[in-house]
Amino acid sequence: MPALREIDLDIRAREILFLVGPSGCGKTTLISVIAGLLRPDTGRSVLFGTDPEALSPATAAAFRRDNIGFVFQSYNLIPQLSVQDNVMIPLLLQGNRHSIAAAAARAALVAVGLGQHADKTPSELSGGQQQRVAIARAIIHSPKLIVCDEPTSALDHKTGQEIMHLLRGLAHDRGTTLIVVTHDQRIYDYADRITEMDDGRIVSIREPAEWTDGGRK
Amino acid sequence: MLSIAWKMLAGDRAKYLSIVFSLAFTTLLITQQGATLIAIFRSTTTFVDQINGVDMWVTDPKSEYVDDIKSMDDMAVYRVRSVPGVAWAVPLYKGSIRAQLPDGRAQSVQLIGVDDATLIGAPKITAGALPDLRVADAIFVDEDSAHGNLAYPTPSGGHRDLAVRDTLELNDHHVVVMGKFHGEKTFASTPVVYTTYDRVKAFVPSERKLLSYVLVKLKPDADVAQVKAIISKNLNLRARTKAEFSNESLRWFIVNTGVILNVGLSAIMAFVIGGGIAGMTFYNFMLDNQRQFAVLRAMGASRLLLVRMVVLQGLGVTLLGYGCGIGGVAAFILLNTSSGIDLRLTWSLIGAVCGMVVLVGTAAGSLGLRRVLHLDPAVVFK
Repeated sequence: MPALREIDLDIRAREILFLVGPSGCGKTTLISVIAGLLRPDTGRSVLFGTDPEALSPATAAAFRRDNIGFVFQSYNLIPQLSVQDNVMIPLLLQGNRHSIAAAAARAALVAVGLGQHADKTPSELSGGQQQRVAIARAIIHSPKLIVCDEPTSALDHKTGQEIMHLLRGLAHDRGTTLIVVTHDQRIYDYADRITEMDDGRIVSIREPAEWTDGGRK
Repeated sequence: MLSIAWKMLAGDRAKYLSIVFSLAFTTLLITQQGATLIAIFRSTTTFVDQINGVDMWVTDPKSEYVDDIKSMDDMAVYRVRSVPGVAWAVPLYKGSIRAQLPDGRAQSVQLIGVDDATLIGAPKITAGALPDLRVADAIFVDEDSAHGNLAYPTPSGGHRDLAVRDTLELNDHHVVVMGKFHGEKTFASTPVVYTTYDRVKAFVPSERKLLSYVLVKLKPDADVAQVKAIISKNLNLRARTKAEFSNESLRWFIVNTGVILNVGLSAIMAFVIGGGIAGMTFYNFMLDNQRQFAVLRAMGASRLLLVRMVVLQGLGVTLLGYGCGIGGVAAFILLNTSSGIDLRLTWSLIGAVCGMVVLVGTAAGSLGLRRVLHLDPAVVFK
């Protein structure tokens, strides 16, 4: 049983696209394919004019490193590292010097409102603050695409709204494309387009105005 | 990123300290056992190894190793001298005798008698002068014993180091300490006293045969095998080169005592238990951090970078534990120089233990790395 079927999706540059749908409908598989973490059995995914499948593993890794930022549901911060060290990682992966990466990390933390928490460990922060750190990590290397997997599901409503507000502001400021997988209908207003999936297929692509609080219009 | 790798490991304090401690403990135990074994081995052949300038040792044909003394007749020296290829040959006595100090304390000592004329076989002395061994009633005493078992009584009831010109009795014969030497520890750790061969005859008059060994120097063009054959066939004695005698003595000791088994078993247990704990802990660390490595892969870390990170973690923690362990043994040795505990920390032992400990780190790191490299980066979304 294929996880994705008949997917035909064109994502515009600098747009905020939400992927929604019931659990198991293929949202995570689709963003894994888009991000080059999974290779489709058939068909192809082209990102910024490049087919990641055509690249060698090392080149594909470098392509992800330079072009994609990630925000995860469970934050996926490295607990042994300080907040600043976590945020520095994308720049260090690119081969930047430690001092340059540290300065950029401090700036990114200021941008997400955590400038004073740089030396703390993730466990010393609240869930919302940890997600802000994850956002700082995702934007520090100015990627063209940020992939967010359920960025607000572990947060309360108010914090979720703050996180989405922050993400949208940063994406617009930096001209970044944002793909957000979510179940949280309370944040649908932050999307430019909402792609609904079911059973591995895309069943609709709509704008937020076409959604009501209870579901589809 | 390598600093990040190290922080990932060191930041997990409990596991990090557990790995370092386990490896340090393993290193310390294996090294200590090995150093003890080397010290024991060296002490068994010290007597042969420390006499320089001798090519061949001649003994009774049934003498198997250095302490298996089957005395020969003094004439053996003259007979050996007559063998073609022999430049010179001198007698050497080795046996036990009872020493008595002025306060009445008695102590069994190892008495060694060297050739009166040449003093070949005498030790390098640290107090006195070598020719003084020819002074009437002269003996040389090893420094450790002068400080320990043969410490001299003082009028106040205490003890001081036995000094040059002090007197004691050997088998009721008055002797004078004319020199001291720094001798290698013997296996039995009994005091060692040197005197001349002729004087031994006076100290040990009850034995008809006193000659323990004949020390031989060969002529430059001598055929070693031929000299050995002649000594064996014509003199009915056994001749061995210095290296052969030393090695055979060591081999006899290894084969006929359980020392290898006992010490070796302890070292193996230390390796298995300590290394096992360290290896498992490091492997668990790798498992616990699989998700973090998967995140790094998703974010664009290459396989090579992940390998370098794991190698750094494994090698770093291994060498740190190893260094602590070796440092512990070295400190133990330095702090116990006067306690009589004999440990020999050789470069070969240090290298061998390093190899064993690195093996533990490599095995654990390789297993963990295998899992990291086979990680599906898409797991980060699960």
